[in-house]
Amino acid sequence: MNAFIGLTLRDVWLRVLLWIVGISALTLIVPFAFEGLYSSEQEREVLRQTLDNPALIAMIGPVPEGAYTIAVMFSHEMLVFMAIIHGLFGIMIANAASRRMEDQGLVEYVNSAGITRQTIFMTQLLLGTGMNVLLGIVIFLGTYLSPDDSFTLVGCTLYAAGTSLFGLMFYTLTLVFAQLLPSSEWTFGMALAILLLLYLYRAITDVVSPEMSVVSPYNWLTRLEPFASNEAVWLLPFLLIVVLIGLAWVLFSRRDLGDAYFSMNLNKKPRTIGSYPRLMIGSMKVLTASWLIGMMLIGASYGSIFGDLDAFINENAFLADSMAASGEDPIGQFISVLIMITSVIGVIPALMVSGRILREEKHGRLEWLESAGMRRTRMLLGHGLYAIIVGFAGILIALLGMYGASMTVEGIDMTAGDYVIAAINYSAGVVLFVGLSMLLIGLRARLHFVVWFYLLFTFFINYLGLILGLDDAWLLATPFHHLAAMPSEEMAWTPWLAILGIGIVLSGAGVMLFRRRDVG
Amino acid sequence: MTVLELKGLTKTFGKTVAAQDISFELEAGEVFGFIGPNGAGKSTTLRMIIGALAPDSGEILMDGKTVAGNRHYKQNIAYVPGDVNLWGNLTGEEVIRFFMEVRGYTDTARKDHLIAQFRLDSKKKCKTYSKGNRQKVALICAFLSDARLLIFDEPTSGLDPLMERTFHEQLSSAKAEGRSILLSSHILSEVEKLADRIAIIREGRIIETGPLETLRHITRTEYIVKAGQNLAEMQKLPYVHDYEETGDGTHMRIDNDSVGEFLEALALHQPHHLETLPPRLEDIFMRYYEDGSVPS
Ligand SMILES: Nc1ncnc2c1ncn2[C@@H]1O[C@H](COP(=O)(O)OP(=O)(O)O)[C@@H](O)[C@H]1O
Ligand SMILES: [Mg+2]
Repeated sequence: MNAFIGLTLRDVWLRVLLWIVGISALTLIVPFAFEGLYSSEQEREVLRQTLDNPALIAMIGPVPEGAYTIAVMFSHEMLVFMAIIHGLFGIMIANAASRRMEDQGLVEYVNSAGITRQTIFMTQLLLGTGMNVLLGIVIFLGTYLSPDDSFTLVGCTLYAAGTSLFGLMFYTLTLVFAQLLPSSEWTFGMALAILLLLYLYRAITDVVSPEMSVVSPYNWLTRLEPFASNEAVWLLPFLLIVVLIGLAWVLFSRRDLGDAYFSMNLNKKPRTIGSYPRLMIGSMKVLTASWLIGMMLIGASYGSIFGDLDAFINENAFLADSMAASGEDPIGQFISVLIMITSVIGVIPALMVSGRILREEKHGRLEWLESAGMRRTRMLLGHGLYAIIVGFAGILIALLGMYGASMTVEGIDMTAGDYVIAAINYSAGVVLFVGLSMLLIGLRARLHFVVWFYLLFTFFINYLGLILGLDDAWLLATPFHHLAAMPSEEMAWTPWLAILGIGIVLSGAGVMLFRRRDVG
Repeated sequence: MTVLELKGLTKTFGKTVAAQDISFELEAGEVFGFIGPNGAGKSTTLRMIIGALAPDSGEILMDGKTVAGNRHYKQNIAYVPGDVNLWGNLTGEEVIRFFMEVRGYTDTARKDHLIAQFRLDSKKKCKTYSKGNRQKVALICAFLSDARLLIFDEPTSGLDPLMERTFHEQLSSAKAEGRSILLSSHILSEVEKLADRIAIIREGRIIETGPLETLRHITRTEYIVKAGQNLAEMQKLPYVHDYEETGDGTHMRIDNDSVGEFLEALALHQPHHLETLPPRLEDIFMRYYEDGSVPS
């Protein structure tokens, strides 16, 4: 037992540590930032008003009743958003400790060496519980020690417990998928899809019909109302974790190792694949197709709240007047925020495609293909180009979905063409990220994670920068900030070209470096 | 004609010197065995030849011309990696077809023949393949090619004895066509059967190169002796190893460079039966490991 725990920990401890440090840092910076930014009650009240609109409710959840203390504000703005990251943490580590290990033949190996399935499963559970408890303790202590009085003991406990349970729930859900699905890619993809779909469901229902939102675990967190009414009873639905554990165990104990309950055998006749690009595209078709569908859903769900947005503005005569007076179009501004966030999400599939070449390398295929006369620089270029195409297609589909879902809403004067230009505009950001990805691939396979960190940073800055009123210096470090905020701003070609140019230079450098470096 | 020449190849990974000053030549139509224990630097050397690793120093020449800056030299090479994780969602058939397409081969009859010879269940997805089956796919791709130089990195480590024989047959016919073969292995008996010449690598350095016969001076020969007197005291002699008394006589391994002394010493014990077994490459290693050096 101990030996297997040791083995598993050796495999994942660094990643677990990085996640815990990263999540705690992201979470705990915020109370301190608020302390400086929103120390007076009036300032907080103003912020609460600006957050009380459909676009932002879709993003971070409904605005709480009662006094808007710093702690309440913290929990309002962070809880739902951070839950995605806690969930992602659970999914990644659970997958690494279960299906991925199994794909590598490790589970079978240790099983044959006398380590029982119970031990393997217990180890996976211990890891998931341990890491989430640890993270919970860090967050509890961090928030409790923050300088403001409104961070009460009960509130901090509920916040930490809620997020940790959320993480653990997705950890156990991933364990269930690890039994059902035939590979670690499928497991990761399906768990991530559930994480995002539940978020989207909450986004729509929070705006359109708040009672229905309760189906989504994100809403359980909202209903906890930490630091305000502290409804601890909303921790109870997380008992679902016990069911998931039981299910995962039953499924795990009754199947052959390396086997799955669903096998994804899609094709029968042998195909003739004539070139590497076709091989690459074929091997990623499930990945790209599911992301494109996902992007469409994201766009459509944002689009579906535009009607409420319009109604909201009309009801809020004061807001409408003041904005009209300053020449700003409030709806246009909300829409541009949503479009930007959608575009940042659209970078994810692009980076998955460009980073996929590292898997070819790790599995020893790259050198084999190369020995047969294929050039690795071409392979990398192929991945880069396809990444940009997928990234652009994803954003375009999302924005067209947004257009489709909001077509019937009056008062939004955007044509389909406007959305297409907005997609083109933000695709420069995709090119930049793919360029960075290619540069890192050219430098060293192990450095590629940096581009993911940069994307997470960008997402965080752009998403919460709006709400927290971050310093412009932070925003300057993200490519999307420099692009025109369409539709509230006119398309600006100069920054577009500049960012596109940087992306192309980075990818060029990546290709040059890749030619020289050792592979494998 | 020299097909491949390595001149002083060196490669380090951090503090590990994986290959140091590796030099050898490979002639047309020759099978060259590259032998060493795990971690000796065999794969590192082969991967420098195919361009996956850039040497720290040294030179690789193909047909007398340096390969640096020449991206076409690989057209003459077919490489079979030590272990390759094939694309899990493609079948073996699809992978082989892909290689044929990419390299422009159209001889499907030969493909089917090779698949039958290696008894590969090519309709199955690669993720269901054992290491041996993955190796079969890579071997079939290599034997299908018309490359003049075949490079195999421990090709039979996952194959069963029957398939090993198929591999040997294919290798022999490739050799008969005048192709050159570079074959690495840590299984010495295998290379012994196939190789015209061998190089022995240990801890990144080549310690011996040459035809098998000339390397035999540093090996041991096993003798089976029956004698009138008790031979037990012979085990004290420095050139006698693995002394063992069995039903069919007394077995011992004798350093080949001490045969004269051995026979003199043996004569004193009135031997009436003397039999020898052929030397094995394993014994070369044993001497390296026991002595740390080799008598010249
Ligand atoms: N990419 C690499 N990074 C670091 N060390 C390596 C790498 N590849 C090989 N080595 C080290 O170089 C030495 C030789 O390895 P290798 O050539 O694979 O040996 P062999 O194929 O003879 O078993 C070993 O000590 C191995 O650990
Ligand atoms: Mg090797």
